[in-house]
Amino acid sequence: MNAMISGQAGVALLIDGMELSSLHADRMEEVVSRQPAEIPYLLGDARDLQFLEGVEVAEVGCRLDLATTQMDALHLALILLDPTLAEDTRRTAAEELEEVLVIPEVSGFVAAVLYAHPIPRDGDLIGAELSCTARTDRVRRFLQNLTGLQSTIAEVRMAWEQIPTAAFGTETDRACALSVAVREGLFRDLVRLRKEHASRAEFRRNHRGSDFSRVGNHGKILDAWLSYLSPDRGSRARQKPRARVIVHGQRQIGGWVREEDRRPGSRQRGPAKSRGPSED
Amino acid sequence: MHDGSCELCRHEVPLERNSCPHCGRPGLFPNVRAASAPDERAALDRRYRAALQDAAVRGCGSRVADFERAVAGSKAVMARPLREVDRLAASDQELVSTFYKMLAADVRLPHGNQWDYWRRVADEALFPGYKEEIRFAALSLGGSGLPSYGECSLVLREEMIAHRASVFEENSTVFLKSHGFELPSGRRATWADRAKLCVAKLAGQIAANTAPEQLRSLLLSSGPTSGTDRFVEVNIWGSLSMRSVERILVPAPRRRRHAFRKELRDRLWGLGVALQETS
Repeated sequence: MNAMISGQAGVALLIDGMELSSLHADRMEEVVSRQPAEIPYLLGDARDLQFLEGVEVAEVGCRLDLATTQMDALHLALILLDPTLAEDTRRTAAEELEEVLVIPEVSGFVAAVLYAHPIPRDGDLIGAELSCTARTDRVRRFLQNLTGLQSTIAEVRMAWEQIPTAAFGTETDRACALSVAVREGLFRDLVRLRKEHASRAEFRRNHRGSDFSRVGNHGKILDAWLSYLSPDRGSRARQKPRARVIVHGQRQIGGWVREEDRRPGSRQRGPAKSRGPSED
Repeated sequence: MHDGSCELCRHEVPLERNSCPHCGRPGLFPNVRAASAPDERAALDRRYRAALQDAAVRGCGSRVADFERAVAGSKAVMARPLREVDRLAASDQELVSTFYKMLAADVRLPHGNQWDYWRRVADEALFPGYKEEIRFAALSLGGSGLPSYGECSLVLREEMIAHRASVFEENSTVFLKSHGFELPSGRRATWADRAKLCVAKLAGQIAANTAPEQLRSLLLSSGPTSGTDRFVEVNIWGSLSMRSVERILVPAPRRRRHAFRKELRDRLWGLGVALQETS
């Protein structure tokens, strides 16, 4: 059977030949028979659809449970960051988030999303940390890391925004690539590696088999993204100015060690435009 | 206005209009005007008096009087899924739409069965030319709605709907379908006359030994499908938002986290709406 899962809606749609049924996160023990006309109402406006082929109900149940827990965790994190909500509500969110952050796939997912964009001005990191209790050490550490990484998150995001749309194809392709990059944790990993002064080769290696490698032109997109983060991007940009290069982007230097720089005697600097991802 | 002419300019106003086409006077509600028509009122009054007379003969006049007093304070309740409540609680910009407006906006599909046809014919018979503007609710004594339409019950503020709501005997599509889409008089009432309609419809089911707690389920009870639900339908002309709601009854969370419920409570509090958890 095939399945379509949404953690946002908490629903899995099961497709077995012409038979349609659904599985719900809040009552996993029951498979409900469905008509095609019901599909839009089951999934609502969910935008986190996963498609599974050749799966059994038990596996769909496990995947749905994980997807729903991931979305719950993200929602809890957003409640925690929301200064308009009551202190009691935010404290409850911290305690419930603590329970699910222990699951690596869940903590990884929350970081994948929250490391993809700096916390907006109306997000309250300080209040979120103050809402933590003695029972929420894991959440406190997560928030402290998130706070400490805000400038790096901003640099990585800004570098992404500088990639010309032509590298993606269209604006729609760009939005799609961003969605995959966030979901697959590219932002998260790039933020961490940049903070740790790790190599770009390691970053590329980690994501070679990910869904991002199915994005059209992914090699050039990664090249461009990394180039806007490299220490000498400024000098290259001055040699050959591009419309999308902005002054702020040139200040995103530091903290990144290029693979070439680690090779003895290497003299090559700046973004290697002719190099593809396979050469790393 | 009861004779169909505008109070300001005295010209005739077509029934489906919500403002005078001649002088622009706004604030007319076609469903309320239809329920206020003299023949409707007279027919309802006849049914009501016959029901009271019958109750007196059966020796249950006082029980029916209890019922009438209770339903005079009944509320209009809309049942909605929790995700819809979350959406409406998000901000003042979120509104309750209607089936036809959502179809027109291409944000939902029809059911794809015969009910689409029956519903359209029934709505056009009952709300000619303005069915797109009617929101549906049910009369309730305890605040609970019909689970067929969602697990949350939104109890509407009387002062926000009394001037633009009318009530109908039962599920209007089911009723009209069973009457060959002919609309007999005396089956609808203004909001102020809702108790009269309830007595006319239900007094025959009340006996001298009917317990007070049974009166609640007499007014509203859910069947195995939405087509078998028993209730008095409330038809409300125009927009509704969370500001139109006085409280919401939601089931205790199962898988959903307590923080989500508290978040909803906080957001509703900001809109002046109370959240009440049911078992």
